[in-house]
Amino acid sequence: MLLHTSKTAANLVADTRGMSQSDTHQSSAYKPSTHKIDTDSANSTQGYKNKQGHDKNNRAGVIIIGAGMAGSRFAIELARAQQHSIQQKNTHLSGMQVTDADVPLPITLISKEPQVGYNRIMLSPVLSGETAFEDTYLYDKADYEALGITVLAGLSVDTINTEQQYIKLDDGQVRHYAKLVIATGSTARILPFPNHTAKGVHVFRDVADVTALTNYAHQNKTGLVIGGGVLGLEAACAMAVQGASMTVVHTGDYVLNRQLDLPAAQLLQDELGRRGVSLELSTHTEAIAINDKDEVCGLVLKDGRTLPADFIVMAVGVMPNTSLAKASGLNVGHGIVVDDCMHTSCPHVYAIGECVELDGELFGMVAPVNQQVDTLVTVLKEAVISSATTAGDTKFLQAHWQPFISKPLSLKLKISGVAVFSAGQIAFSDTEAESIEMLVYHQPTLNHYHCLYLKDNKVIGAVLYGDVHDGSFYSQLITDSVDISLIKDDLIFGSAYCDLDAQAMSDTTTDRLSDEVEVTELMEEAS
Amino acid sequence: MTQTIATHTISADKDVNQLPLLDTANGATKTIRTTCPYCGVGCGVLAQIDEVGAISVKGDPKHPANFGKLCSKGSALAQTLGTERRLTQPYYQNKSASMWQHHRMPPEISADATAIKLPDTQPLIEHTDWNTILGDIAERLSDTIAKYGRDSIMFYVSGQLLTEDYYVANKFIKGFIGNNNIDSNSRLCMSSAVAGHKRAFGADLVPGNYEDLEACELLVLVGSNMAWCHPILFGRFLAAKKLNPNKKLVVIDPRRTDSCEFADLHLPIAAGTDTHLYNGLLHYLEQQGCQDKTYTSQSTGAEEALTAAREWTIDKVASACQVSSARIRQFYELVAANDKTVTAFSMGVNQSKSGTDKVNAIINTHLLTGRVGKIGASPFSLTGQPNAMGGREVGALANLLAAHLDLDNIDHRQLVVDFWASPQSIAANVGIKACEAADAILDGRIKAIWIMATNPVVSLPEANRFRQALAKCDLVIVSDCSVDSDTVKCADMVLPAQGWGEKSGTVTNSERRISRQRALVPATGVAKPDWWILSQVAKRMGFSGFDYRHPSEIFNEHVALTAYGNDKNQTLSTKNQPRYLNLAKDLSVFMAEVENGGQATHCRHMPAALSNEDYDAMPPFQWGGTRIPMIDTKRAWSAKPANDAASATMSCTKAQLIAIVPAADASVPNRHRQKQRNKRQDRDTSFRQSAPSLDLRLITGRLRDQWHTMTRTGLASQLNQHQSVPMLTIHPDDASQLGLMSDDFVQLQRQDEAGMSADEGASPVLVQVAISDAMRVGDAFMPMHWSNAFATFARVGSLIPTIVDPHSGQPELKNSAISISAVPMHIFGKILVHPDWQDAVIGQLRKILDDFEAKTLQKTGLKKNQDIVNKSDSESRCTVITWNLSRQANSVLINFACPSIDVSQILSAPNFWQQMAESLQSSKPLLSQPHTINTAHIINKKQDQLRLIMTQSLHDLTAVDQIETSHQKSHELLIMAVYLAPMLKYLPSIHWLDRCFADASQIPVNQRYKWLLAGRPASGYVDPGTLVCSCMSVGKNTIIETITQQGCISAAAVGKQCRAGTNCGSCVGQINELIAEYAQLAQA
Repeated sequence: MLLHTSKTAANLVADTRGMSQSDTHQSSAYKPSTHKIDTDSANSTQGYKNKQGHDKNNRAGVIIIGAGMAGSRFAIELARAQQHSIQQKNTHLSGMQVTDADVPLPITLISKEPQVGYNRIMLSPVLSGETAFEDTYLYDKADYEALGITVLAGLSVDTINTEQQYIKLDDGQVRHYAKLVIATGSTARILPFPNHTAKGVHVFRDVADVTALTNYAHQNKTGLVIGGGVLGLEAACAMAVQGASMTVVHTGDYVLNRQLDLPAAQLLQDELGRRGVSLELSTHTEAIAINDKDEVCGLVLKDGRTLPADFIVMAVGVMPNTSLAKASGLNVGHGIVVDDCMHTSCPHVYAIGECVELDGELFGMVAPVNQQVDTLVTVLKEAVISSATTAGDTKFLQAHWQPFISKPLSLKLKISGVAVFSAGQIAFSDTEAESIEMLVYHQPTLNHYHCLYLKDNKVIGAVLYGDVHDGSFYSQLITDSVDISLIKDDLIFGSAYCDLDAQAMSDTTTDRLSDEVEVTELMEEAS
Repeated sequence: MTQTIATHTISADKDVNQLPLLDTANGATKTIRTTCPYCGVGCGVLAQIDEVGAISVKGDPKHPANFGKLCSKGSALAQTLGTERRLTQPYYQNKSASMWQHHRMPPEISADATAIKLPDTQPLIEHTDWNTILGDIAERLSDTIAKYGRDSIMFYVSGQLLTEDYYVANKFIKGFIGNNNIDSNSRLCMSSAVAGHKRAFGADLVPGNYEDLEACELLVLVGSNMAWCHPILFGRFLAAKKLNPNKKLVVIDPRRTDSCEFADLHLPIAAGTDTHLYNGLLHYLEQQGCQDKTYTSQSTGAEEALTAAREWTIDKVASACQVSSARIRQFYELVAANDKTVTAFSMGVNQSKSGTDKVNAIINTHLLTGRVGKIGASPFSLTGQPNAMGGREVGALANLLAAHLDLDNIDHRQLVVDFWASPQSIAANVGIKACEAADAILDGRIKAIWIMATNPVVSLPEANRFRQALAKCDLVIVSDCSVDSDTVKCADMVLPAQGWGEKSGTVTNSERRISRQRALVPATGVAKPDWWILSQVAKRMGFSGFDYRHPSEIFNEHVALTAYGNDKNQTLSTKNQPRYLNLAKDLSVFMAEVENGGQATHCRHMPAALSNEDYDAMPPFQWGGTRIPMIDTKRAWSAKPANDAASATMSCTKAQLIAIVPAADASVPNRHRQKQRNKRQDRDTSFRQSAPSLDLRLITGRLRDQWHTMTRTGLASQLNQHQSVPMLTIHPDDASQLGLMSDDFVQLQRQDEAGMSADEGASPVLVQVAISDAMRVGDAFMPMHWSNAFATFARVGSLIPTIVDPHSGQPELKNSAISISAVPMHIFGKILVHPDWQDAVIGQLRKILDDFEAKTLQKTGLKKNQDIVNKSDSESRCTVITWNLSRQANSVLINFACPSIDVSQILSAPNFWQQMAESLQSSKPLLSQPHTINTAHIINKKQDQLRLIMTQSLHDLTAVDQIETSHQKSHELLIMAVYLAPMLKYLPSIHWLDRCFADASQIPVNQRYKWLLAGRPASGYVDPGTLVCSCMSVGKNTIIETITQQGCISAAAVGKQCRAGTNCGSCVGQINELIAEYAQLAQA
């Protein structure tokens, strides 16, 4: 069937941004021949709809709705965990009869986009032409096949029946589940300015957006990006590289004002200028100007000016996709409400990724989402246990599962090749600021800037610009609330100078830091 | 050293002449014998010059003063050569602008001025050539004489001058200009010893010699920290004591100095009570029957002296000296028991309002016991300067004539007039002495002053008043070799003189031994010898007798004068005074001895003058013989052939005991006398006025590794490590009264006679405190070295009132009433700067002071402009920043501190330093190639912490990754590193940083800035700590490690392991202290 690739906001899928390619566990991608960006790929997607949607006993298995970074990763990890678990059992209980309960639950992954499980973070380099889209797949098709995962691409779920434990797809088919995992992600926000539906208003969210925006850039069009967050800056830089004339319109006093302090932002702004991206800061948008063909021709500002534009990209944050869950009767706040085992308000229904809300918190970064995936894998890997247990049995859960604990986040990103790192709290009220100590390092020639925010002998925030080598070190100090009074004088010189409990600190953290703390912004907030 | 004890005399060591002067055997390397320019020990130096001209020095093993040893200062002589900080060309100077810039002295403001205009700072100086400036000086001196008379000119000269320079200066002014207004900085040094000698012996004679320090059984040091100030001689004594541990050492000093580390007894007497102690000793010796009746029968004054002494019982002495009777008795018993007693005395005795009485009180005890000029038994004056004795020989003091002749003797004067062929008679009156000079200038008697090789605006008491006088003097000429002399900044004309290693001539040491200083290198720039400069001016003024072409001609003339009319009787005086100084005779005797010994020599018999070659080859020789026992007419002076008939008939002075009456107020600290001009003035509300203060006695003195005002020693990095900041040492009890901790800043204020702190408002002296129980309660010690060139507010001379000894005119420098109060500092800082940028950075710091003072002047207003001028005299304006300089191996360290919040804030902002970087970039590019100045900093505003480094780079730094990957050696030079914090302990050690100024290539390029800002590599670096052993460059941490890790628990073991203390030994005391402190941590 022809896959639905509408560019409307409602159909945009969850994204996980900022993570570099090396951060992913899998470097092999889908084969380009079977996964094209163009829409004429119905045949190739047939392969996913293998006949093992249900296993030979026609047992209901685990169904995952959404094949973004969270969903696809969860499918793979769960399958691997199950396989591992059964291998172990077979080793220990050789000769004994394999019972029904020992057979892993079948796994089905449903993808609305025809492209399954690509690394959305990598869309910026794709947009700038540095990376081919084919290189952004998280897993090879063969990986799914080898693990026996059923992939349904280009299909969306219409309804969930939580009573009967089945879902209904938009092609009409009904699938029963033992466990349902919702990973519907989020949708890029479109601010409802007058004429926001005009031709030439875009978001930067998926492959289709990349294709459209690349076309503008190649025609050397003039573009505006609304929103000076990471995504907006990346999009602006990428399109400037491709030939567009780009301006970022930002309501804040400086770009990345949630992630950077003013000096770091100024360094970044100077760098953006050098890369041909103009900035309109402290600027509020009134309306989108259009011509008689309903095409974007500019942006009307509240100060009365009109900035000319051939196209506009809104990069003003995302909203969790919760409509399906809501319609299915799940408890939904800003996101789908889950407990620390990723369990929703409904038996056998779980949720992970950008669509969830836990203790009032939404998640937009790779690291916590991966952590959620890991948590849920521990919850669901043992088919027997999981089917024998209810979510209410907390004693059992705590003994066998690793509940999800939200950790402070840090940001490490490369914008136009500039390394920027941010972690913890970096903005303070005036009264708060009085108790904050700032350690600043600055090298103007190299544009290196580091700022550590200290309170009560603890690092509570860090911004690094230019040289982010020590980002993970500082991040760990923040996460672990380390008392730094003994190393305070040397803190700003970096980890090499901070030998406090050298063994303990490096042994327990270094390895973990290297791959786990490389966390990335996912969620863009409207400013 | 040990094997040489008491065996070396010049006659016993004739092979001294065998060594070739120049040794060119080793390729192009040559060795030149010369003499150290520092203290009066006069050590022989072997300077080796290699084929590329690099110079190294070591002690001359053949020189009878040091036998191969050199102290820390002498060992560092090579580092003081070169063009750094040198005057290279004569110039005229806008004195007013210069004194504003360097001394914060505003110019006089006319009464009708409508606005206070500070002098333009450009151009300060105008370079010229010798011919122009010499002609100009001659003309202006002639004009001054014509207008104001002969007495309107004064020379202020120095113990740093060579005998030849000294001779010409003295001849010029006394014989030709026609006044006796020549005084030397020896006035501050040895004049009490001179006066004491003349009273006791009839002439300025030192009876003993260095061997007596080895031969004695008891050495008494009075007012001398010999371990620091004459370390080579102290080493000779210690070596002898090691061979014979029965030898005793007694130290008499209010401070427990490093010399006490080796003493059997220390008497920490109250300052100024030496006369009390020695009167008591005289009385005790009489009581114990120690009087040598034979000797005293040939002396005079014994009875009167004893009568005066008899009231000084031990208990009374103990009470006066504030030392226990038991200790006093112990000391007296030691002296009574040891015929072989040498009493060596130095500045603690001389620099006193009763200095001459102290000298005579000491000599009295030797005369009473006949312990004079005998082997191992003598009073011994340790001279301070390299050529204090030479100056005395040529008579270059206001109350001396020449050749040990007497100014008040008309026959003597006539003899000299005849010899010099002077155009007029020599004035009979004593000339203006050093401490009278300021008054003489200010009241208009002196219109022109020529200052040579000394820094009186630092060293004189009431130094600010002297500076004020120079500001008002019509003509100030300064000859010097260093730009870092504060006095140079006060001159109208500046003449570049040759320094050590360039100039050539003779010096005389404490034991009357004349040695040659020889040139090693060509003169810097167009610098000239002082004798040449003087002679050129004299000739241009139309005087004959100044056609010298070589210093040997001057030396010959000096020698000839000592022999002129000096017949067999060696008498000329109606006072039956013998003329001991007859260099012609001594030289001929010496040479005869050499020849009789069968040794070849370049020298021939006198009286034929020495040729240039003979003079250049002249070995060290002692005039007046080995010892002068003073009363034995048959052997009035020794070391001459027995068949010399002269001795039989030569008369001799009677040795004379002087009745000493200790002054009741001898120990009372001196206060400034209110001068008429010092009306109480309205002042700024200084930041100190309400602070609690404490009255103390200020004692000044020397540091171990520094010399005078540091213009030379300040150039050698290892000499700046021992104490690198101006410090005031006080007793813990005194510190606790003001709640002071070590390194806290205090302001020192002078006290005037009214008993209140003087009217000077904010103090010109602001230093850190060191707390030590080596001080007596109520005493404070501060080094005399610090000048404006090296520290903003540490010129201790400005606190000292001019109270002089009535006999010698020597000022008391060790007993001044001061009060101190704490000055809280907002920030402390260290700046390390490349030497090429030192002046530029200091200039930027000065601007802060400029701005502040300009504001103060404006605020004070015009109505009081006259007061403002006076205020400058006292540096009354409270300061906003203080700093000092300390030369390191590869950089200059500037320590600074800010009592002002405003200025602290300015300095705490990176902006200030970045702007400095920009101005440096535009003002003085070091390289002609394109370069950039880069900065990097860290800042913690909340803690007032800032660290900033500045580099100069030839690279485009944005390509740093490329540099890194290609392992290319970066051409990035460190220019400056600034560290600023609210407490000293937050500032990094500088040892590693200093190395980076020479070579920063050991730092990984991508971590360069962080390492430099941290002040150390990220790991694996052990800081050597404060330098303890200057000679071998061994730091405190290294020594502690040697003690604790290597288990070395004796100074010898430590020395064997890490070489500390193995050269001059002046740090052995400190090493012993470290051993005492850390030995228990030693690993077996």
